[in-house]
Amino acid sequence: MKLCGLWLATLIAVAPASSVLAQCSAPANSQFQPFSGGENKPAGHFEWYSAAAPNPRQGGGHPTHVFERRVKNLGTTTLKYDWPVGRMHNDALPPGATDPFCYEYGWPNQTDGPLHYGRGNEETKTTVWEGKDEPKPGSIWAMFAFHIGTGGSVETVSIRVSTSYRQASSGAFSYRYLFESLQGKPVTLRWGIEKDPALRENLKAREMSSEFALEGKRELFFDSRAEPATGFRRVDIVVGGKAVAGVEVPMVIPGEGLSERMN
Amino acid sequence: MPSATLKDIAKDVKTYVGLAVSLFGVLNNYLHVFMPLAPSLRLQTNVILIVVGSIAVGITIARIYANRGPGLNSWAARVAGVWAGVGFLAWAVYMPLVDFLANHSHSQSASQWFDAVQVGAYVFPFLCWSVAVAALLALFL
Repeated sequence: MKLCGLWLATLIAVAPASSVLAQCSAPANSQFQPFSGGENKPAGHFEWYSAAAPNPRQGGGHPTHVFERRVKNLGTTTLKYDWPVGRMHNDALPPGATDPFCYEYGWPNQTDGPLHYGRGNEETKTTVWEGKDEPKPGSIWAMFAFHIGTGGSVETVSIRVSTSYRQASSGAFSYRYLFESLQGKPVTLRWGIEKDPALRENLKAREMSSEFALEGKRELFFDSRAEPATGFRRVDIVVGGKAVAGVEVPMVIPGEGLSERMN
Repeated sequence: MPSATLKDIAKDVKTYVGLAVSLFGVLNNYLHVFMPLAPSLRLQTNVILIVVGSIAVGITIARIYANRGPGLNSWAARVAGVWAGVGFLAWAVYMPLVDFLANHSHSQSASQWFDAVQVGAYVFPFLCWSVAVAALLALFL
């Protein structure tokens, strides 16, 4: 099992972007049946999907389960959607494109909530698998890809976010944050850390803002006495100063030492 | 003289009832009883509704003061009628416009422009009705 985990970790580290995105899926399993649905109305023609499975990467402080969500636009025009329980939004998903989002977290629970779509008040009922509280994980990754239509072309922005911590001998905690553009394309990200003073202060100390350009990888290390908590924080893709698409990704956060419950 | 000033202030306060129309526009964003709007456009729409509504009602009050005299009633009636009519026209155009925008959004940049157009189209009827109500109240107060 450990060999399998090591093999997977190595594969993810060296695989090209497309292969990494291809792994953005929860393995088929009989324990958690996926939820899916869709709409075919003038305001939007799309499918949504939510799945969960035991995490193939066991050990190493990784959470026990992986989660996968996606939204596919089956229409002939862009799809505007906001999926609060799925923690995804895109102002203009191009026709035929799919936004995938996957991450690792704790034991799955199911939650109901609407997916808003179109320019009016249309919404469809959805059920998603989401992680429940569990002992704090030491390392969490998440991957997502958004399709951004620019004029006549469609740009795909694929991001991997990996966070981890370890306890130093001094009693402090060493935190590591990695943001990686899987296709190496430059992209501007906005990191929703307004309520995280330790993170904000560390970014400020590095003369970094919570909105930053990412080309390839960006890693952030720092020590803090604040105990690690886990929670979801928004990562938006910024185009022309506007957050056009984004997700809430799970991450390790220097906080009060209590894991936040997913809501 | 002091009683006249108090009366003017009271008149202003009552005329500001025109702002209630903008507030109804904000409320509608959450109750979905009147005109539909995507939740992602709510915040900027609400801010614009309040700011632009306040400015429009303020200008209307200033115009009411400027037109004080024998011709005020006919002026106020004309303003109330015209702006109410334009508001209803804009309201009637809203849904076809939203359908058009939804069917012609082929890129992110187009979608962003359409967002701005839709927010404007949502705010405009409430703006017209705010002015109309402010002018209408000037007839009676």
